[in-house]
Amino acid sequence: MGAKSVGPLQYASRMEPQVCVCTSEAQNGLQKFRVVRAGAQSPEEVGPREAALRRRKGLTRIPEPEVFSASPNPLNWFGILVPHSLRQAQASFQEGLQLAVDMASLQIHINWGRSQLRGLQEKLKQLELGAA
Amino acid sequence: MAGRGKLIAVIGDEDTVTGFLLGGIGELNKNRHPNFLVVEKDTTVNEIEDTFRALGAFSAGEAEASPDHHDPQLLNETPNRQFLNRDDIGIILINQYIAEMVRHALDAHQRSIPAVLEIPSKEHPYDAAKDSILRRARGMFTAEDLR
Repeated sequence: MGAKSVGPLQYASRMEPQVCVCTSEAQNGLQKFRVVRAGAQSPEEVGPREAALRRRKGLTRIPEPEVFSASPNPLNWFGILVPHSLRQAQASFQEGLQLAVDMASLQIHINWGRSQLRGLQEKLKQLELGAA
Repeated sequence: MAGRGKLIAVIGDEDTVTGFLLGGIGELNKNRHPNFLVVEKDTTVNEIEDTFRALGAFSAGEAEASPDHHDPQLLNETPNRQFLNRDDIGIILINQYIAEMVRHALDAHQRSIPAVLEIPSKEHPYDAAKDSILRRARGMFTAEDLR
């Protein structure tokens, strides 16, 4: 697999995001992010129930993992058999995404802290003016 | 759509975008502009700026009708997929060397959401001194404040 076979030319023409973020706001106005994995169920969760259903219906076909995934794995854009290094890269980027979301929350915290500080500095100025 | 949360957008070089798309953040359909931009040697600063601005600012109704993309090469040629304008983007990941090209647009972005995160690339390590957010934080205290 050459350097040219992993790149934008291999991207799918349709993509459904599997990772999103939700924002939540505390009482003091501080917001933060939380990773949300879209796509209803993992194959592991759906598998046993489907198997039970099939047994009741008298079917003996073994369920295939592809049927259960909510959205296709982007790894498949690059072929059926992908190098292990690409899988590892995917895992690293998935970890990286969680870190990025945490960092974004910290950034919001910094900005929130700045605006709190500015507000308090204003108040202090007013008090000093009042006392003078 | 309302229940699923906000998207993570990425503006980066080929490897950065490919990596994060592998991570599962990509959205590409004919109804909306994609939430990613691959910056290549021939990508103009205007394109990068347009894309970034629309991702976060309040929309003045400038969104173009999205053509039906099936050719990934077209992704780089379509202007105006403005990330700041969209209210469905929570985080914008941008390689720091690209952020440098549009530093004024980043500095002008005051809102907390979407959060803009400057990240390193293979060729350009992260430099905290250049980061917009950290530069603002460093400017928080003047000599007078600390008296």
